[in-house]
Amino acid sequence: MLLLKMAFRNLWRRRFRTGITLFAIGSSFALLLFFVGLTEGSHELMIDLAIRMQAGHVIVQAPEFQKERALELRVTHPEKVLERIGTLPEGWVVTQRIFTTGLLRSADGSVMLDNLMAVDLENEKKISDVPRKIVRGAWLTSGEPGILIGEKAARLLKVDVGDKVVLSCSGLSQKVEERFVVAGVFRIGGDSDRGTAMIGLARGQALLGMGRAISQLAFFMPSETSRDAARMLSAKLADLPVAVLHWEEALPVLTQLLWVDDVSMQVFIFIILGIVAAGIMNTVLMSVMERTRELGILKSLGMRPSSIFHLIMTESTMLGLLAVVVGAAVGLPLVYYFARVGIDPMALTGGEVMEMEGIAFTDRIHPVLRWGSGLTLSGIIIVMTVLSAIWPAFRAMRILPVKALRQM
Amino acid sequence: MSHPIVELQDVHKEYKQGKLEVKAVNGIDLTIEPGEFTAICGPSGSGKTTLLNLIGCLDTPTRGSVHVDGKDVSRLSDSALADLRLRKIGFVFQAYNLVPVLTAFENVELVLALQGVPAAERKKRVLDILDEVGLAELRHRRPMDMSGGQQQRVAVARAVVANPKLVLADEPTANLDSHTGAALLQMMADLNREHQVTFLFSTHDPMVMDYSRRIVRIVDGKISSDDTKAHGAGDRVPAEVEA
Repeated sequence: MLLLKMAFRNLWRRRFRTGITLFAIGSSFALLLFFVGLTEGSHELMIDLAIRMQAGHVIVQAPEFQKERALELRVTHPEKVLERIGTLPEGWVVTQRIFTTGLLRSADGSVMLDNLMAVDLENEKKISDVPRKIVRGAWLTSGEPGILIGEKAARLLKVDVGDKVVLSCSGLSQKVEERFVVAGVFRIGGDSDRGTAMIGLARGQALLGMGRAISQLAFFMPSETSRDAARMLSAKLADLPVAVLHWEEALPVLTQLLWVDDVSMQVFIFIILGIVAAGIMNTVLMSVMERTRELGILKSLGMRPSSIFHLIMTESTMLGLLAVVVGAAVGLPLVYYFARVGIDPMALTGGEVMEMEGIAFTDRIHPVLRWGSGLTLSGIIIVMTVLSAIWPAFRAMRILPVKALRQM
Repeated sequence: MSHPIVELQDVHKEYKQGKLEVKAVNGIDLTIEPGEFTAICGPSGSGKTTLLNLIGCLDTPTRGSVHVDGKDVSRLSDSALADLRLRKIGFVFQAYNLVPVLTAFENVELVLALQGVPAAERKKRVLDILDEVGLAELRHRRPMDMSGGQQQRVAVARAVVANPKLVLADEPTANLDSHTGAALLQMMADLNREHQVTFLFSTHDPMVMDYSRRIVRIVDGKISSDDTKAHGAGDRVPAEVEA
């Protein structure tokens, strides 16, 4: 207890220096909390958008469809797949989609569609990002020859809600063409507003000559259960000519980008911690050198070298703990504030819309800080503070009393 | 069987100062018996502080043997030496050398805490010794809030609180005025007489020599004389004996 008291008071002998060190470690910790929260928040946003627009938490499609998005690579009997799966667990949604390409024409122009989707209107509405991003018109209604197009496409075609457009594309067996009425115009950002369009599934199947076939069954569920769900679906559909993919396999570019982003964040953390560690080591070393005589006296009174080592380590552990408290006091409100108001992603990219796999990330990013990440970072800061003090503590332990006592 | 507290045999200590070799202690044989009140004196640079450091296990001899309470200290590890210092030896330094972040009470308590003495017993013993040195009222003060004499009395209390076999005092009066120095010496003489604590001083202060019953003079690292008196100035001698 007396040693703890001593360690605590030693910390405050040089209040200004300890204050600066606390500020350095604490603000680094706060910064790390914010950036880790921002990274986790942006990852969640990316995953969420990409899953909603391009895949699902788990998808079922023809085995080769992942390599080549051809209409011929289809799930011919989606009803058999659903029958094999049986009743969906609570909280799950499944939607069926056809992906193809086409050309959209109006009297005033034409637009290439690189992402023409025929979708299950009822279920797609529950999970897609498009319904809430319709700026004019409304979501498609079953039985009507409606089409949803992006704002850029509407501008290029000089059409608006209620106008007619002609959709040309390659069906399963022949080139097809059909007139559609623009039911709605959406703004999801980036090139998706030019190259993405949506029609109803039944209409798409008829137009493309697909029968009941589809390109993909997309399953949505609570994300934390998605890996188990992928395993379960793989097991149930093992003998059907379909592939079951978790979103990480279905969206490899996104998965890789997230991985690169994670590694970059780790390098960033490592660099920040390295700089802070050097600062702490310097502070503790200065504190030890200043107290050489005093430490020599403690040794001459009979304090063991190991106790001297513990004294210095206790001081730096206290410094680390205090820094975590200071950092949390600054960092957590910062994360909380931005988690509430969000951050415009274009502010991070200098006004550019970030796009990936045909998805534009225009929504505000809300930093997310999980307990696990916060506690891990706190642990890292404390461990780093303690590790930085090992060498100075070792030097303190090796002080020779007879030499120390000669110092003024 | 009782053995000497300190036994030095042909002790040498040589230092290198640049290219120069300095013989600080040059073949000293010395025995200190329990209960002695002895001063090692000599001019500056004569080797008295080096000798005290060797006896206090703060330094090791180049040659010869140092036995403290029967133990050959040259065979002990750093931790064992620390333990020996903790349990057998008390130190009083010229510059007081109290721990600045601790109060007078805590400075004295520190030695007992290091020994693992339970808190309740520590408190009692520390209060007793602070009372004995007349500082119980100032126990909550930190060193910077005390005078030199008060700090040195705390240092003496710290040195004797764990009932060591030997207290080594290096120029304990050097930074004190004569009145405070005399009071401090009287206090140590009382502790010596009442608690049989062995005191060994390194000094060139004539007052310390007055109080000491044995005076060992060192010149150039060697003992030049070793004189014993019947009484020191601090001994309370019955009037008829003094007459």
